[in-house]
Amino acid sequence: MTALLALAACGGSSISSSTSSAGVTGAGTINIGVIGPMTGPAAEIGNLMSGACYAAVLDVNKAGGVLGRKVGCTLVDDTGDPADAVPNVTRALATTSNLNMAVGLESNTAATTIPLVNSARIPMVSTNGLVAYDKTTDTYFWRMTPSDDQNGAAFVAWAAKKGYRRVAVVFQNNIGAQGNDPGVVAAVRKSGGTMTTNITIPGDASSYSSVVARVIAGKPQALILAGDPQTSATFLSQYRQLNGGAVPPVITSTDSITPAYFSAVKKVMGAGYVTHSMYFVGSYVSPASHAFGIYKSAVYGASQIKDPATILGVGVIASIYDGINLMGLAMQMAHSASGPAYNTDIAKIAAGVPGAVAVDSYATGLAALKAGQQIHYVGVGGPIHFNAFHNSPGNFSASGFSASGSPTLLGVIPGTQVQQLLPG
Amino acid sequence: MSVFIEAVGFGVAAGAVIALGAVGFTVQFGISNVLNITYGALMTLAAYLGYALLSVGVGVWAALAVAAAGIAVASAGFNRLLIAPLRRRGTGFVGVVIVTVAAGIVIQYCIVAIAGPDTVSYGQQAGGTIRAAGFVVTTSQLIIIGLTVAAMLALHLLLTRTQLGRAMRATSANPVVARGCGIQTERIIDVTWLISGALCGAAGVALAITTVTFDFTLGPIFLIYMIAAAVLGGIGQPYGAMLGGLVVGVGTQVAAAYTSPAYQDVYAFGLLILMLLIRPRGLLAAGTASARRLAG
Amino acid sequence: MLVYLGTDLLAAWGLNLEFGVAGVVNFAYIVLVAAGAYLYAVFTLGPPAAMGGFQQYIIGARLPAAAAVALAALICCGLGCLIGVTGLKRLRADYQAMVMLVISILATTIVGADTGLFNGNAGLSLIPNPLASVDPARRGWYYVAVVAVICTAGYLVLRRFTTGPLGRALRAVREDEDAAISVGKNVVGLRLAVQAVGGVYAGLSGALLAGFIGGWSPSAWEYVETLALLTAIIVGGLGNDAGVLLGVVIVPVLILQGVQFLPQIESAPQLADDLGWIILGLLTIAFVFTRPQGLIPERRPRHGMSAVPADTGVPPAEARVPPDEAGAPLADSGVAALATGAGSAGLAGIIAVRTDASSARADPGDGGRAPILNVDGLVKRYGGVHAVDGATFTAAAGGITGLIGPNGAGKSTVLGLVSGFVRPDAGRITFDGRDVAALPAHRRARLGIVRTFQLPREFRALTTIENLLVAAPGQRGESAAGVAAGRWLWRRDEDELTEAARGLLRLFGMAETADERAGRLSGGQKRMLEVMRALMAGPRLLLLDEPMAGLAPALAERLEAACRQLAGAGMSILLVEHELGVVERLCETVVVMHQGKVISEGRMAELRTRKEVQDAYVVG
Repeated sequence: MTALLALAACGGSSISSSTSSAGVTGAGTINIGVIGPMTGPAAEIGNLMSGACYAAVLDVNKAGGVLGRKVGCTLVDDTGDPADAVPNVTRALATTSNLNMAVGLESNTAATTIPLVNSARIPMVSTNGLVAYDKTTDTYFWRMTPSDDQNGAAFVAWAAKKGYRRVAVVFQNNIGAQGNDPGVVAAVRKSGGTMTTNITIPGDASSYSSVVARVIAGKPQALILAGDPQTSATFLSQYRQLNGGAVPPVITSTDSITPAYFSAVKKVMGAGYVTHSMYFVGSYVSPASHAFGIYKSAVYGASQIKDPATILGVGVIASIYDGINLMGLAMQMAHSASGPAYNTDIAKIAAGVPGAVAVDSYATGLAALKAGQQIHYVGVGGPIHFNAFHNSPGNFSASGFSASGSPTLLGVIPGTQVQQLLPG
Repeated sequence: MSVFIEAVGFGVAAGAVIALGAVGFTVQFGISNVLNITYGALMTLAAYLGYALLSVGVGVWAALAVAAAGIAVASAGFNRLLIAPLRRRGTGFVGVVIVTVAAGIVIQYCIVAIAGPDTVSYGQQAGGTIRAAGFVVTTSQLIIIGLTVAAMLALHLLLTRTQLGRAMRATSANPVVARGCGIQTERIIDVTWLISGALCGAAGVALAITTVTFDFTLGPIFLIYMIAAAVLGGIGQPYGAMLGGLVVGVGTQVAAAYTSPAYQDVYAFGLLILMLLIRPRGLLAAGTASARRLAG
Repeated sequence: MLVYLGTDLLAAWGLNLEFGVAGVVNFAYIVLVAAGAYLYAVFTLGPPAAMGGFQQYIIGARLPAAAAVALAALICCGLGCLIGVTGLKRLRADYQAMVMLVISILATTIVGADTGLFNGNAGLSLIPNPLASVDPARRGWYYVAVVAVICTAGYLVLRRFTTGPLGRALRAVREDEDAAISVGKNVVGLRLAVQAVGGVYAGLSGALLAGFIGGWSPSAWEYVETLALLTAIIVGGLGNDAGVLLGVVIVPVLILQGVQFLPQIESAPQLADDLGWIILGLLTIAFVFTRPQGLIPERRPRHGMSAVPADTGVPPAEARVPPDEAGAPLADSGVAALATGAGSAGLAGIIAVRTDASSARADPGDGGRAPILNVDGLVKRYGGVHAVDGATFTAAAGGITGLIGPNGAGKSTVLGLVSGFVRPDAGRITFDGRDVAALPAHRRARLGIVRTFQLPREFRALTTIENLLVAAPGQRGESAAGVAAGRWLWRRDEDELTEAARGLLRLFGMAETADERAGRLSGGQKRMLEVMRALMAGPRLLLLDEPMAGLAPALAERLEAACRQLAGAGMSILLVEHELGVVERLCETVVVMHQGKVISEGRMAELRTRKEVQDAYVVG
């Protein structure tokens, strides 16, 4: 949106956000700020984020709320554009009562919105991938998902696992790619594989023929291709055209495991390719765990969620659910909803002191706390190990599309394996 | 060397689509002196029209013809409804540009409201791939190149051999004098917009065929290339626009073949800037004095 | 947020100065705003490595915010000039516009692709807020206050440019560039100045924005942004600073309001957004259609005179001239009275100053009267046509020289060559002993070669009296000093000029049209205005291009009488005319041209008998 029209956005969008908040926004409700793109080109992500919030809120309220109070989701539209994000977030921070925790804060706008939330001393669980936050000093910032360069290394780890030694790296010219690239490059070198090409392409161009020709010339076994649905579809279709119908398998980020991507690529590559030759690597969420089962019921149970399957397939989103549980439990433990009071308890619950009870849901955690016990939260995303910079990258998984377009798990990559591929 | 030849081939294919659109764009400028930003939105409309036709089973080339015709009418209507009245009132150049931008936005978001913001796809329409003499082209690309060449030939014949064409050139050069000579300038302008609108529509569908997958931002993004091609070749000069289209197309593809594709536009536009410094009127601009200069 | 309002306002004012007032179409304006933002960022961010190296960019100094903002604005001033320089290529305005558009797109592409420059498409983030030391809760309001102060200061400075003699000169340039040149305005210089100032405003706007948002990326400054700004300006009121303020407030509000009235559909939240855009588009179109001058159109200044102090010694010359209205014959006494009027305010004073210099130079020439103009072997080709093919003649000082010939003889071209609007391919032009062939047209006008045009080129949007005032040379109000010092420096000049202009209007019987827009005048009045304006420019050699054509007899008579009196007062005139009767009555010497060459020279009666003249004309 244009900077000039940002004026309008600051009025309009906030209004739409408050009318769609879930839960009873009565007196005393603890509001969870979901800061993400609710409109604009990245609106899908915002949709996923709010879905995770609704699921968490459902479970928390069912268990009795936090400190006896209900929780609710307040959607704050960051539109994917910092110029609009800043006024919207500022306004939300100023006008929303009891805004005691925040989630979301994705890569496009994170650098401008995180400082705002941090200055307001509101603990936040962010899903952004910016490498900048690998070493941040923002006290109220918590991240349970990997950053972009780690994701990049994970791509390579998966390629190695599948036996692809020669990979071509093609990234679209945007924030995510710029973050992934260093990780990919370092990992390929360390793993002993060969990077046949490393090219950045402009998005939404009409012809990638020359680039495709270069990639084909390198004879890669797999493509690490990160781009939006349109760019990826166009690229792949032109690859297919120029390579006599054959296209190597594609490894890309879980961010792309969306209906839009599915339909765009399927139309040009056919269902067979999409379901058998595409791998989406990202944060790992074990579908077999008990915690996941609880998460799943919540996602299917929340009335505002239209596409539960997609939400379940994107591991990064589960961290929002976990984050809300974690922060809620921390509030309970600190007997206060105020950020400065409960912020440090987040780490305590995640690490767990010796003798703490392991809990995997809000309900069990609440019960244990009420019984006077210390707790150790292990959620949908598995054990959480916050480092000195409040980062806990976790494990990785590779998923694929089923025939109907919903995500299916294909394999797991332990976080340690990925860390090994990165320098330092 | 083979990489180069291949890239040139890709460039010609890409350039053909640019040329098709740029010629229509520059003709509109020549006849009505308007920088028509709506052009991009109309191309998008054509692409979506083609998509709609494809979905009901119409063949892709028939769809192109129908869409071209549709946009031809839309263009002429656009001129009649908006551009001509504004010019009559003496609205300045910038005012008209603003209106075309606004109209483009309206059309674009109508498309979004109806078809949704997600991408749509023509599916694989490319036909077989042909490799010859170091070039690699798809059948549909060949058809598009052929289409562009045919359109240029037709335009050339029209402008030079027919009375209509002569009337068009006269009106474009000096509408006042043309009217004085008895040429019905209103009708000529309508016809010109019809023709350029057809080119616009054809370019839109051709672009969709090449890109395969697109969304509502298709036209506006491509508009940049067409403007560059038109300026490169000399605004108002159809042959110049064609040449410009080729240069931009080949320039971007060759750049992408040898350097970072992220910069491919930069190299193409860099050529343009160079041109503007050396010969600001464009490659094929006529050598006559500008209208604002005082004639002796 | 009010901060956005303020920064948009600054940017809009800058663009309004360039486009609304001076008529410079700068479609690359948003690039200047972006430059301001990026420059502020790289001046305050500190070296890339210090921030963890996650973003790359050039420079990376750690200047205090105020210095960074100032520096950014300054550099943008220079960039504005740079962009202005491309306009020097004298391309057609609309062609220029497209070039600017392409430059804007190019800029976004380059900055987006080059990650080392400003971190590419990801843009720069964590830009320090200039008010970082202020408590975050209050920071927003403090910022609003800072922006408000800068806006107010900006407005006051802007007024210096948009009102007064400089504003008038800029508007004249906007209305008709060539006419402005003909009265000595340095159009190129003025344009550059305007773009420099516009650049400052753009840079300020960008820097303040970047400091507030804390981030800046290519998506914030696509080429459409310039068009959005232009829309706001056009809706609000082109050329009017208050109107621009209105426009900047209204255009975003229009969207806001437009969207409010639409029902919120839960399942398709995007739809409201889309409809909002559609409404904006339709409203814009409606606006340009029905009210193109904007909500608050450009103000028409009324020229009352401020109180004239008693000691300036300006005689009440108007008292002696009978209140002349349309139809009354030109009073000899009128001109004579003005001619004897003391002080530089009188019309004759303006002429006298000039002619003194030329008549003092008593060069032995032909017939004892020094030639003020010497044209030698002038050649001008257009393609294969020789419009002027070796023309040679002289014009004596202090008299009226006629230039006649059949159509296509090259007369107007000669005027163009002499005045500097046409570049000769060969030949010399000597004015008062000085070779002027290399001088640009506006410099020649300042030297005293002032021309009129075949088709009257009035400054349409300016009032009649403004048309005259703007032509006066050497106005202090137009200079940098005038802008800096303000009204008190040029007020007296202005008053004197106004008086002279009013006198002139009275003389030509157009006093009552003084405050009307020149575009509304009748054809004959415009022609008279043309001549008066040329006179106000203080000519030593007045080039009249077919002034009688199409004039009603009464007006023609008046003009003829005026010419006679001017010549009597010592002015030199070169008169191109078809009406041979007029030529015979007015001109002592007549030059005859045919097919680009001078075929004869002499007194009219004599010329009539010469065979070559008869042949050239075919009809007597």
